[in-house]
Amino acid sequence: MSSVYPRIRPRRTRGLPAEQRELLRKACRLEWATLILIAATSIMMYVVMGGSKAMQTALVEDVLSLLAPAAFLVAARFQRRPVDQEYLNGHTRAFDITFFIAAVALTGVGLAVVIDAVHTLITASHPVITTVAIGDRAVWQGWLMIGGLLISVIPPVVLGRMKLKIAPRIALKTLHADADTNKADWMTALAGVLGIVGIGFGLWWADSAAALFIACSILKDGVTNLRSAVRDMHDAYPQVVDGSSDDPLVAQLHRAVLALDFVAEAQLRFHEEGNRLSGVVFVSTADDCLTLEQVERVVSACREVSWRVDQVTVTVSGLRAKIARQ
Amino acid sequence: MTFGGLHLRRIEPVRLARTNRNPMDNALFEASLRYVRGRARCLLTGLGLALCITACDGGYPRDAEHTLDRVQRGPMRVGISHDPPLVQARGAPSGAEVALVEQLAGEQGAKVEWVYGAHDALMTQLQQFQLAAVVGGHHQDSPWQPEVSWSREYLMRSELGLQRRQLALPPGENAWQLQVDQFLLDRQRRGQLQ
Repeated sequence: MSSVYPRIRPRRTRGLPAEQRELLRKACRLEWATLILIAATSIMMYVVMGGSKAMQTALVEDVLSLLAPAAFLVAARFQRRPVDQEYLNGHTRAFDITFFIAAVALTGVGLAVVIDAVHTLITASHPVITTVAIGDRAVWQGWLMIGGLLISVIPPVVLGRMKLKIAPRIALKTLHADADTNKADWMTALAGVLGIVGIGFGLWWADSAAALFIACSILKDGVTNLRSAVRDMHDAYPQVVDGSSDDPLVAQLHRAVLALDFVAEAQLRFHEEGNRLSGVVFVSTADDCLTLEQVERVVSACREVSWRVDQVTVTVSGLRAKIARQ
Repeated sequence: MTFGGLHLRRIEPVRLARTNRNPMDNALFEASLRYVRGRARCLLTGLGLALCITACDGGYPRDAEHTLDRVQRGPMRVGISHDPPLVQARGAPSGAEVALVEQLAGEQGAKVEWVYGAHDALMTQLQQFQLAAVVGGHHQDSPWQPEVSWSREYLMRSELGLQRRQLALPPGENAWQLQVDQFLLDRQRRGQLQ
């Protein structure tokens, strides 16, 4: 005998509030600006680039840092789609994927720069910087390179800071990781300037040494973000946007559930999906029973805590019964 | 996060909220940020000043291996690779490009010491800073392209027609490179070279 109800029940996801929708649009605009400006500075750097290792790595860095904003824009578009019969759980995980991509890109940049700089130092190859003719004078190309690098510093500094401001408010780790990439970007550019100035003083190793120094901090940022991304893919305990500590939201949810009159004990198992939190609430009541009305009250109590709370499944804990049996 | 914390999380039904950062930490963080920013400004100003001074001084950019100094002290060691008609290395060196290199040496108050050898051997010596330049025998897509440096391009006319030529220079010798390119540019501007 077949049931009259459909076999599959997709999630009924919760939309973003107006403020967060606006922030997300702003983030998208920032990412478009990043794509355009960094592509423009990359082209400019390619034109003035000579044999400087730090300059090359700064360029590689720029091109790789295009990856995260591109992925973000794809995810933002994909994430807007409604739940359907195929994507039963919605599309919020799209941001988890871009977070992973951004973290891999950042780590890749760090590794590439480290390997490159170490190679140059070991082989003691002297970076070649030639000259360009400006009017009747041959001008050392290093000056142009320094100019190009200094110009390329401006967009990532400005965009990175703006992203850092938005990221916690829409709880997007991918945006935060992208801001880290921007930071890596302008730091490598400044290291490149120092390196070229050093080459001008006849210190052939200055360039690679500067690149190596900066690469270590990029690598650290990359690995931190990568670990955070791997955590998210395992539905690990939620963390704040920069991964520095546990998300206080879980404790707030716990308090909200305990505040309900019929709840004796409660346990939570929440995880992050993109910028949303979903999970299970295990409730112990006096008679170890839950009515439909009580379930709905737990769900709405959780959702009232924050816009980030999306799917809440409520079930009977059974823990007290277990302890009693023992 | 410690393993102890993880363990606790599994057995304790009530999980205590962990604060993000206490206000004292925050204040410390802000203070250190201000400190770093202040220092960064100092560093940049210093860098700018150093740049201005060295740029006015004339001693910038410099060579890593002092090729320009060695050329000026003389003799100027130049590798020569038989490449007729512009570079004749059989017997006494001759040809239009040989004359050009002799003019370059003359401008630095030096005499040329010609070093004969196979092209690869000469380029290896150049890469090791034993020569100031290598003339003749370079191909447009030389495999030595990134290993050594190259002068600016110039055109020379011979019975083979107009040829695009370059001198090979030691890598990363900034002052020497600037002198050679300025010399070539002057010739090109005066019409002695195309």
